[in-house]
Amino acid sequence: MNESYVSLLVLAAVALGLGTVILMLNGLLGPSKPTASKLDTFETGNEPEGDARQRFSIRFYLVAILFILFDIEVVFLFPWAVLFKDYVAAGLGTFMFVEMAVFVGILAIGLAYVWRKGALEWD
Amino acid sequence: MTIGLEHYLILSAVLFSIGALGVLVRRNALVVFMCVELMLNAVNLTFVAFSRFRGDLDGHVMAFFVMAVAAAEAAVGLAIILALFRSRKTLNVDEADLMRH
Amino acid sequence: MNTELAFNPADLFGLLPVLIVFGFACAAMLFEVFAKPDASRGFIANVSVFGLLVALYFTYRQWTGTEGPFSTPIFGGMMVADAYSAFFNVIFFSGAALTCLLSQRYLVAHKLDFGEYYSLVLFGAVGMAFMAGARDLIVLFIALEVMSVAVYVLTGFVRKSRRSAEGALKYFLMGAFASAILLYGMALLYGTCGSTDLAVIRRAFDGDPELAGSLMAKMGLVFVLVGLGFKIAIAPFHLWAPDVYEGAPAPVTAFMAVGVKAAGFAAIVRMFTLTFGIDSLQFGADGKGWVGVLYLIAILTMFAGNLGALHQTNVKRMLAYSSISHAGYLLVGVVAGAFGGLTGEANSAVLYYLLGYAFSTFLAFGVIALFGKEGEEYVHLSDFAGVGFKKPFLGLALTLGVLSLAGIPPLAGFFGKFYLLKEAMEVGRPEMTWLVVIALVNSMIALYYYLRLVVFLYMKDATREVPIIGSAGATAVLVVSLALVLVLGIFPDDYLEIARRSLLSLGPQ
Repeated sequence: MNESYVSLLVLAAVALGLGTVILMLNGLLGPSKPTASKLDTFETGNEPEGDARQRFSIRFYLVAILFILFDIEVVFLFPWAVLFKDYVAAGLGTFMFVEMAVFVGILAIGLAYVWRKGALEWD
Repeated sequence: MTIGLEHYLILSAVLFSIGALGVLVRRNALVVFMCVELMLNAVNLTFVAFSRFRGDLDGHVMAFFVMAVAAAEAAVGLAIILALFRSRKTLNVDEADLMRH
Repeated sequence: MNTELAFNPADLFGLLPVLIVFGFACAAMLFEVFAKPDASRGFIANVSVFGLLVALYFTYRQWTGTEGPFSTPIFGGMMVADAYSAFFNVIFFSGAALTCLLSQRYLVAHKLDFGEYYSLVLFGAVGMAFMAGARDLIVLFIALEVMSVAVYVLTGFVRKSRRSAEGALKYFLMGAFASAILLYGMALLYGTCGSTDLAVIRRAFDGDPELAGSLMAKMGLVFVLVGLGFKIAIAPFHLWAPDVYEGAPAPVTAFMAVGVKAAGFAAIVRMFTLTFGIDSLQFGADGKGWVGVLYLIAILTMFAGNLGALHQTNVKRMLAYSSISHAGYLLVGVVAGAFGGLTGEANSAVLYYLLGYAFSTFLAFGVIALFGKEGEEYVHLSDFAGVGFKKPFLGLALTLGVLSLAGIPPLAGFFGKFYLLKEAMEVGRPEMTWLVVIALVNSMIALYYYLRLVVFLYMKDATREVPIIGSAGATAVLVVSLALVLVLGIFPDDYLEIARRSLLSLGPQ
């Protein structure tokens, strides 16, 4: 491997080691006398309410699923956008534009379906 | 030592095997599905490694399509898993045993 | 992959039938959301069937528009519109049309009247059609996924039914696992040959025996075979099939048994027989290569299917095992095709067999789908007791359907099997004779469970009242399938000629 990275490696090792040592010393040397009020969730003395692990509405899943589906299509838009000028220069601008319009049009049909189906409404 | 094609291939083979093993031994439907995703990403690594090594673009293109397909599979898979969870209240694939004869 | 970019109108004509189906699939989806919420969705089924008929008409135009085995590369050779893919398109599109007709009343009776169903059937058919025409690993993979994702959803379409949800989960997890394996195989093949184009892969293997014998090529081939094997449910990758076929709604089961299987075989025959050839990828010193592997799988699959079906009392499950065994018979044809010259008769027998199998399956499932009421299908063997006399037409249709699957003359299934085994014998290798003997033994075993259903139909008394969902659409499905099963069996020559011509279009690559 390239020698110039060795210094980085040393730095990483020292940083990790120092952090670990200090944290361990903290645990070993510091006094620890827990009482009930010290262990409260809130130091102000407010009683915590309910469970931290509550159920999420199923709508989150629906939105997440739809997001994945439409989000990933950017993968195809991005290279197209980067290369579009080259294609215009090569005289293929219209062709490439129509191709992408067809692609986005198909996505739009999907969006229209999702929209009308009410999957984008929260209530 | 330089990192060559074989290192990528070994890494992706190892990832693929971990994924396949996970599919075979894990019982939670979601975890099984995550293992399948791991396998797909291992394959993507293989494609991209070959593609870079050969200097052509086919592998990159394939990797893009695999990502899109994986997203579609994830959407459908999560919906199916949710549907099963609603009726069974469990994600254990061993308990999906209504049709044993 | 070809990097030439230009608009080519011929591409669109070659792809026209598939594009029509795709357009109607999108339309069905939009009809669902833009129609009045409380209106019946039956009209979407009619629209879908109309679209499929238009697509079939254009497939026919492609067929008659040129003389001999035609083959037009499209999208720079990533796909091809040839007689071979046209032949399979006929199976996919007519299968999808029959599924839509059959589902129309079924969905209403089971309170599942949603337009997405038809849209998914059409998208599934589009995926299958792309699979039959794929000449590039990328297209093949995407087509396979389009088909699979649509069918996963269809399997779980009965959301309230636990069986349906369970079937969908099993199918999905197994299918996704299989896709990943297939994809890894493709990655290794791409790495070995430097291209995803099947023709380039063929040339690379032909020109370099060392490359073809390399570990990476072998592993790639095995992984691809395992991945495709899962999809067409061949042993030992068939264990998911009975559960999934049982859990899915009956019309979907028929669609899977016909469409997915045919698409898998379309890909296998094109990819293995033509792309790899018999000489590449030898596994042993005997030079049988991948054919030896398929040979063993064929034997395993036939026994797994037929022995599994013997003790089933659920008719859908029994037909699931039966469809596994049919994959085994088809593999006999593929093996014979590989031994006996690639575009030889044995492979055209495979195509003909698939055609007969498709309509026999729809004949049987067309009847089975009618038995039931909301939320429950009546598919136990005893539910069919006495139906032969109470409903003579349904009894006759189911009887002829299973007899055709069993291979009784003069039905399509008989001639398909006869021709397939005859061609396997004519390859003239001793090991093929053994394979044919095993196939015959299996046909004998299969007679038991097929005839048991017929016995129940005509010689047993009904044990409970069975509700029947009759409809004009379902009757049309039965009449069409019945007519084709008889015509294919009695006048096979024309159809054999069509199968031969399709196969020739694959040509020497």
